[in-house]
Amino acid sequence: MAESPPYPDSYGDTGLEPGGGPTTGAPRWVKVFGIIALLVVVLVAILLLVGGGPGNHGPGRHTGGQTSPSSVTGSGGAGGHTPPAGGHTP
Amino acid sequence: MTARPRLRKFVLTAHVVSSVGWIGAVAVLLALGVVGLTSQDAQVVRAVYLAMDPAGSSVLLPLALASLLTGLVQSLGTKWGLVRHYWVLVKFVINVVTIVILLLYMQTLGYLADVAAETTSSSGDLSGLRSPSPLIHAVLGMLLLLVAVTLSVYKPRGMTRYGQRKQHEQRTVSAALDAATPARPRPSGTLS
Repeated sequence: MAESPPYPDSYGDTGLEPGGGPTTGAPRWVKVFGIIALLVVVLVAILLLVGGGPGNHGPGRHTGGQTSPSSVTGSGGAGGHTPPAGGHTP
Repeated sequence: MTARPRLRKFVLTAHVVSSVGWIGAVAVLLALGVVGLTSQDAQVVRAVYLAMDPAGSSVLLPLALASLLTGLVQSLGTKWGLVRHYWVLVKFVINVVTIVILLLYMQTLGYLADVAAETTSSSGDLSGLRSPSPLIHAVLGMLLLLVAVTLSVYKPRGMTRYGQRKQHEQRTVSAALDAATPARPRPSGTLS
């Protein structure tokens, strides 16, 4: 009877077993992935800085400050929408 | 420490279900984002931005957290470990980063829902309501999740230094046990 693989329920389809990796440094795909991730992080950081400073991931960023609930209230009546206390602005 | 096969299979099933559901929820958000940008019907646009908020808080976030939790249990309950193989580690980082961004973005979805709720149906100006932001986030989120799925399927080789050290320790222990075990007696009748 053939011995069952160590992880037949989850990883048997690839034939790769835990501990089967090389004993060298990080493989190429990790380096490529890391470089791409670093570039994306830098790009996002630049966009955040240009768009109003880091940490500002609130609605003002995404709407460009053009919209507010009161500005799109069609009636424009007195006492337009007031953001609730502790609203969405960080 | 490794979990029993039955428990491992259950956790794996939960992980796959939550992860697939997460991808599906992001796909729905992506579709809503497209409709919100392209529809000429004010009611539809309002409905889209109203629906995004509960979809995010009631579906997207719970599934994402469930995927993270089950993934953690799955990795720590098997010999794959969390930080032994690069593909597991990268998946974990992707999962955490995506959830952090999602948590930050929930306030934007709430804000957009507020705007949509306050916009009257007769309002002809939809430009103030439309936002490309949900679509952009959905596309980027989908890309990250597809990378995670690809890593899960292909399981590219590569062990971290910690994984290599652990593997070396295990092999040393295994070799010591083999050496300590007395050799089996040869069956009678065999040629020497």
